[in-house]
Amino acid sequence: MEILKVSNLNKSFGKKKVLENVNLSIEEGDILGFIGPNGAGKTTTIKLILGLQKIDSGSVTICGYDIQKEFTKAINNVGGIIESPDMYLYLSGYDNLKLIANMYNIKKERIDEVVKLVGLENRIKDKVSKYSLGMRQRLGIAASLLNNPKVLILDEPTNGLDPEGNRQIRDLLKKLAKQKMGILISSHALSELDNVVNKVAIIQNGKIVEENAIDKIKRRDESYFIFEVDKFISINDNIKLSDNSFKIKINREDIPVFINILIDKGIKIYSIYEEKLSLEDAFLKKTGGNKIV
Amino acid sequence: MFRLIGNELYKIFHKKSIYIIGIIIFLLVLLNDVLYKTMYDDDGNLKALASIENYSSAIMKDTLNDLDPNKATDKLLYVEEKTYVDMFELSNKYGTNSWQSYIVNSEMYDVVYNMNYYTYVFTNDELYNENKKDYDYYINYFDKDDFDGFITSKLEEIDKQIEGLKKDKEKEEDKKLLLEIDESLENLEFDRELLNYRKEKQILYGNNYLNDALNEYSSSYKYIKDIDPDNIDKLNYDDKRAYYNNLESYNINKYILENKVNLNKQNTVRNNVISSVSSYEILIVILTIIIAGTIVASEFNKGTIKNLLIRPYSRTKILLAKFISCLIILFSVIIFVCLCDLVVGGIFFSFDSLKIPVVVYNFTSGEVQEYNIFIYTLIMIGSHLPMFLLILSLAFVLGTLTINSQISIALPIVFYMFGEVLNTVAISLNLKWMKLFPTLNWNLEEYLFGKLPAFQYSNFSFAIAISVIYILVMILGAVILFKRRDIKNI
Repeated sequence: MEILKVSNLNKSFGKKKVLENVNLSIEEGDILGFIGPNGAGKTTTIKLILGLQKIDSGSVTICGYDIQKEFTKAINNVGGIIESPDMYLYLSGYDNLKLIANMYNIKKERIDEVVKLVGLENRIKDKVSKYSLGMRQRLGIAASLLNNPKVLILDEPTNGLDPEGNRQIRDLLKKLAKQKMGILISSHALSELDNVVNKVAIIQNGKIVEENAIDKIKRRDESYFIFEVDKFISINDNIKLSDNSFKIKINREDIPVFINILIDKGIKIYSIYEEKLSLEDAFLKKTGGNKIV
Repeated sequence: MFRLIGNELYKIFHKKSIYIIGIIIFLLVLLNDVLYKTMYDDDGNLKALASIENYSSAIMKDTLNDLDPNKATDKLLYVEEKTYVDMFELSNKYGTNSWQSYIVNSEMYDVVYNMNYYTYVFTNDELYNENKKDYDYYINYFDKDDFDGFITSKLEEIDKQIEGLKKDKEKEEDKKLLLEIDESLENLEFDRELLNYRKEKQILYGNNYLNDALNEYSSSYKYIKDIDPDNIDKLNYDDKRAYYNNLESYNINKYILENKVNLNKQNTVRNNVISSVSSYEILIVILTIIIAGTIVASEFNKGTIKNLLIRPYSRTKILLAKFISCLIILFSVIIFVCLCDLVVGGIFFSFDSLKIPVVVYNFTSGEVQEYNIFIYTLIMIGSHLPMFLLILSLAFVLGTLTINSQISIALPIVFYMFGEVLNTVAISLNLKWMKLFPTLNWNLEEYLFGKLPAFQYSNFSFAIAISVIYILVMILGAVILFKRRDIKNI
């Protein structure tokens, strides 16, 4: 079921066109990576989705409610961080959450729950002004989860997180997606989203240049397969990696034939594995080596 | 909506700055009361006056010692200085606050001067004795502390004068002189009335509130008795106001004299409380402006506005919740200031004075009205409300419009300060069109109890209407702008 549908979104600031016919869609359990360089229109798109800015033309539908026509019903299903997790610095993390919870009439137990979820139990009573950026990021995620949203929108959520924190957040997002939450994560760095997202939308200069499921992007070309063998010999177009291994670009269905060829030549095969294309590599291929960062 | 308001108040009351301002207000109230306590004595008179008198008498004695009554050049000066010293000593003999002392200072200068003159400058026993007789006349009553006798003899004197004048009147034929006699008669009769009043109410001469009231009572009576109430509307506006002021003064002072109650005593908790809102108006205004000017702007500056707008509430509700929170803060501040004044003043000056009602002359009914202190304080708060609300709305709108805390705090403060200047200009130049301007309408105190306001082109209901219109337009403008505003990248 489509829980977030963005269609033909247009937005201009004065004469400058910021967004042009932007289309996005998220279904239950999706994690959409929304990728683009700084200034491409990621945050503007998110603000239009959340009703923070007026839509020039096009529509945003959240769980069947149009954000422009039925704002409160639509927004009730969303949680999110926009730009940065801004909180009242002079209040404690807990007080900040309490204020938000109060707006939804959410009980205290739920606050404790989300605090535990992002691992802030020990510092939640401290003032936010004493938090590191990573802790604020966690607090922001906790805040956006308070109302059990169906759609979660996170703008650069891994900013300032250490590798361990980054991993924790990724695990958390995967867990949430399994509970049928639809998640949109924006990022300027492709590599950060690898392994998390199942869909990718790439935005450049206000236009979506690519929207697809991640395995489709990755599998656009055949993958390389790496063979570990007892000795290297040149065969077909294989590339030597070391004395005992090489890689070759080959269709998956041709592998058994290729193995037979190797066996015929008396080569012992110890292992074969697919060299996985990273999201970044896939994108580089797509744009012809034109890096977006 | 209530949840939003609760949140706003939670945010405001968790700021340290609001408590710092609260402490400052408390300290100012305390300081004010300490000043009153040290400046006035228990009767409500300025303490400084007595010490000045003592100081100058010491100087006079020194000067007197330096002068030689036998030297021709010094003679006149000597007599003058000696008269002062004699009078000072005489008045001190009966105590500085006694009725005798007051009469010495107000009536006996000529007698004492003449006695000295005929002793030192122009020695003449006959003239000296004539003055000495007058002197003894006073001293006779003074020594016996016979106030009634003194007044009675004064009354007899006046009666004699009146009778004399009446006889003159019968003989006189010149119309001009007749008019003059009539006028003198009228004045004498008024003096007699006052003396009778003094005697009847036992108002001893002296520097106390009863004499102040009697003075004001008599001067305002003189003013209003010449004006026919039926012809009031024919007067020009300034004269009409003067008449109204005198009418009020006449009635209020009459009340003071008849009930022997000091309504104007400065160093009382009563006086503090009824004037709390006026005394600390600027503090209330500044605190309100700071809250109202930053309540929207600061959310934008910190970026927290996004967290507020992605919740299931319309923008109108969010803005109105903020506005209502400002109103709640305004009322809390007013109540806080009044309570501080009440508690601190009560501890300093005792709470007894709270029983004394506030007395107001109602021009519409033509009667003196008594108000309970607390009800009157509420009326005062109410009459200042249009001003507070207009300033609050202005700060609020500017904060929403500019999302710049500095502008939304500075401009309303300037406007508040400038309002008084503007009003003075409008009143002195008699600018009728200025009645559409809020500052001339925002203080309802001018329009209460049927008073004639300084600015003649407005009235009670018009003032309220203008204030309400300005406030509504500002809030409406803020809502419309806030609804349409794009939340830009921060």
